[in-house]
Amino acid sequence: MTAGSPSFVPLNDDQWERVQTLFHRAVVLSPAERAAFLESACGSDVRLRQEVSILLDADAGVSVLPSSLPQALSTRLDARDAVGRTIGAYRLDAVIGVGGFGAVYRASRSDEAFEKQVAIKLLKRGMDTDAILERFRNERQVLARLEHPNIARLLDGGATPDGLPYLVLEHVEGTPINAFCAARELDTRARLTLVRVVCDAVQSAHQQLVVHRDLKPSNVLVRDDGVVKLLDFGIAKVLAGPDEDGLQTMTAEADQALTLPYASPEQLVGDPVTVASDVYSLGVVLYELLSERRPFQESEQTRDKLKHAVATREPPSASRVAPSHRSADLGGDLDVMLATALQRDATRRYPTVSALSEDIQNYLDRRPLRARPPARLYRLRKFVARNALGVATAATIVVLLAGWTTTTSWQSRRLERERNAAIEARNDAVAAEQDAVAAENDARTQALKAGQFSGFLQDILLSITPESARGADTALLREVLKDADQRVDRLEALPDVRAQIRVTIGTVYRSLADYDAAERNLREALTIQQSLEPRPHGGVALAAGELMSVLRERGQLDEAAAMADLTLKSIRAAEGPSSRNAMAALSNVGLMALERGRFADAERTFREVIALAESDEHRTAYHNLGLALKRQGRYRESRSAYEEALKLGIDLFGVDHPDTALTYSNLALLDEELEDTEAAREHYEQALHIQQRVFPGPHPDLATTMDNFARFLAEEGECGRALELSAGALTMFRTLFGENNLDVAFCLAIGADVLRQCDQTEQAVIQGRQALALAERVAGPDSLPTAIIASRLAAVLHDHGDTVGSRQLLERAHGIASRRFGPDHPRTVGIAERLAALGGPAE
Amino acid sequence: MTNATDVDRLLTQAAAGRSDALAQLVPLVYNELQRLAHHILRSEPHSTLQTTAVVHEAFLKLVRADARTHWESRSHFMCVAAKAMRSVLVDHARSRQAQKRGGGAQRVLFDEAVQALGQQGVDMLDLDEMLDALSQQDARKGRLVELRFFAGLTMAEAAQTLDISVPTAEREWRVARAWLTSRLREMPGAGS
Repeated sequence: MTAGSPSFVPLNDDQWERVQTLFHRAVVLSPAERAAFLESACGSDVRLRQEVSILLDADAGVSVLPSSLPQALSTRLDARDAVGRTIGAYRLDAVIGVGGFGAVYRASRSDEAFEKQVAIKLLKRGMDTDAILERFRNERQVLARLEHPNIARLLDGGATPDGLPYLVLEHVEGTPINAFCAARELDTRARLTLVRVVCDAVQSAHQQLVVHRDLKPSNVLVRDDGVVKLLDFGIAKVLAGPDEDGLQTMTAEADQALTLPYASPEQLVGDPVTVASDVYSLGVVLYELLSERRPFQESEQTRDKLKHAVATREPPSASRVAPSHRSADLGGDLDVMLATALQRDATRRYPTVSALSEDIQNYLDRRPLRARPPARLYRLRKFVARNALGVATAATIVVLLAGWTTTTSWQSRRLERERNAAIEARNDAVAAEQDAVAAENDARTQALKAGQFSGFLQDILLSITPESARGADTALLREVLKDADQRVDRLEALPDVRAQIRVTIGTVYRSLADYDAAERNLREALTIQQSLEPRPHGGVALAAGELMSVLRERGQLDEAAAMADLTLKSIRAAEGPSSRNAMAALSNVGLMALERGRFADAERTFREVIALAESDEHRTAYHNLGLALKRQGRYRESRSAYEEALKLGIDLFGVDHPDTALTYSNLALLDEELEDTEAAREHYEQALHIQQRVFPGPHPDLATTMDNFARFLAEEGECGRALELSAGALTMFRTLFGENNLDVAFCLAIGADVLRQCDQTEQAVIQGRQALALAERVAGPDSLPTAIIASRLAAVLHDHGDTVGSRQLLERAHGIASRRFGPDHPRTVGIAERLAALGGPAE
Repeated sequence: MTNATDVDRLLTQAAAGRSDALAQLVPLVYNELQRLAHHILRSEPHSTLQTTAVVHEAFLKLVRADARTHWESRSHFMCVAAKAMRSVLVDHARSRQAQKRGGGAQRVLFDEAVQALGQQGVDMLDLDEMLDALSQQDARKGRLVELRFFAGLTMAEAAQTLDISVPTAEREWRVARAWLTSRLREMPGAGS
């Protein structure tokens, strides 16, 4: 809403009447609704619309008019009474300011030759002098330690002969920060830079365990030379006491209008005050400096009205309420930053003032923020979102490779991954748009057409829905991706943004199983990140981690392992050796070792995770350790590891949890290795039972258990239930993923095996061939899945009496395995042994 | 010295529509304010003159004197007094601007008033000018601002004086305040 300049030409009575009517009707609407309302109500009457807008705009802003001059005046006159008095060693020279607590004076030492000016805060009658002085004595040690160039010192305190408490403070000649910014007409960047200085001073006090509790523009002075000085640090606590709500000063009559607006929600309701309260107050100050508005208009009214507003509404985005000359710089990152600082729930705010400060700097440096909408994930935190699946699913993939006895749950993780990718793409889109806007302001990159660019990102944002990502309708998505792919290089001057968008594009391509495009984008992203100085370790980790996943899925295990190592190294450089992300990355290193058959390496890695990680990673690590041990044939140790994982899982999540079911499922597979069929049956039943309860409809985990259990039952000769479960699993996979899907291929292959066991070899051959054709189509004729299914189908054909066909398939699988793993790899050797049993390779 | 009889007489005449009576009320108010200012500033530092509102008190005195007169004239008086207060302060601001640092102790009170406003980034003379413009647009809103702002009446008192309901007064105040805020913001140096 652009208000424009007010006119000084009076309106006629009818027009004025209309203006007021519309003003009263519009003022109760949200800013967004107002524009539409005015549009329809004013039609082509430009003057009418302008008048109403101007009034609404002024109404929303900080009023320049005190409601009563006599009231303001009498407070000042009260304060004036004391000028000339001597307090302690000081003579009061002039009134500096007045407030609900009393008045502040400029004072000088009366007993010394040299002039030393101080400020004296003389509290008014009626405040509890004894309690205040006692708290002052308690606090003074702490406050005396607060030595910071931007913090005005507390020098002394005491009581006047007639019993009024006073505090002696460093005298600062300066202007409140809001008035300073207005007078110098500072632009947004200059205002942010100034607030950053404030943040750093507040942070340094927080490190001394002093919370300000009453941050507001009149407590943040800027001297003429531009030096910021914070006043009254810790004074609110002295005045109000540690057990009270810190509001004694705030509710006092004259100060109310000034201070209420900056009080945090917890201060309003009288909850304990923490550093988060200062974060909030700084947020309000920043909001006001950037938008010339306060987050809650009710702050102009009463404490109860404000309390109600803060409890029931989010403040509007600063960009929506700011007048036009300020709103241009707002939006995007700055809105996110303010919204994060102004969260009602203290735990969702910036955890520290330095985090807010850091984001201000990030914004100034045109780097991505810590705070992100809507999940507010720090960029690197995405790593967990992505790689937690790598950890949790790893088990299943290895099982798949080893004996393709199970397809387990990786597909469900894949859905999750696609959803995550969509969310991330949206986040990235928003971030990139902001970066692009920021970049446009920058003379270096004027060539960049931010509007155009954000337009296509908007398209991505709109087109990636769970439906489209699930494969039902990927045409539009592919088009948008192609477009993005082509345009992203225009962001020449913003390599970090370019890299980040390439990661997004690559991730989405990966979820669409377009591995060529995925790999190309991710490699490009990685190359960019590795060329930047200083090296953005987080950015490298994201690109490398994603590339690792693609390479693994393509079966390029050596390079995938190298990527896992690079990811780990980068994350540790960014976050230290044992952060949550580092643990996820370390797990992936172990999983890559597993997949490459380096079981001892894997075991060592997982033991390292167990030693370093916390509860949930711990559980996953036991899980993975179980696998590493199992692959080494150490079944009993493996079972112990699984049992440990199961115990931790039940402690963490309870029995009825998908992860608990997954562990049962894996235990069952292990029982099969140990030929403990009773235990295996029981564990399968457990897994099935839990999954049927926790998943209301078709679910990949459930389908996987059904598939594995079917195979087990077929081996046990229980063909009725086996065939039923196998068919059910297939239907479920097809419902979930459609026909063109690798999991459907594996399920068909396992189904073929079940049919073979149950002496339905004709049907088994048909289904096995379907599985192979599907794998070739989806994963490629030279892919690992094709090899696995081919070698499986070989067994079916062999039972069917087709020795030639069986041998051909085994040779093909052997070829793929040799190329992938080398001729000496256990898996390659395994296939060679089966070939030898058939009479050796043809050549 | 103002005395109740003078005020009473002038009020009665003013109520009867005599404009010269209004003109005479203004200096009376001015004098009363000056007298109060002298008193306050000469009192010792320890004086417990707990001024609820020094200036307000001047009006209360006059209003109390007015107690015997009937409602219409009291209401009328309030408006006049508020106008008087305004003109006193504006005159002061103007002379202060002309001679920079002027004057005796009696000026301090007005200095304080001008500064109290200045603390909000508003210039008294700008406010005066814009208040005229508002009155030209909507006389009742102009009076409402005078009553609230210059005379320090509460919303209820102001509503009673203008013979409107409190909700109406609140609505009018909101528009008036927005109107003035928007115009005053446009003034050079506003907000600093």
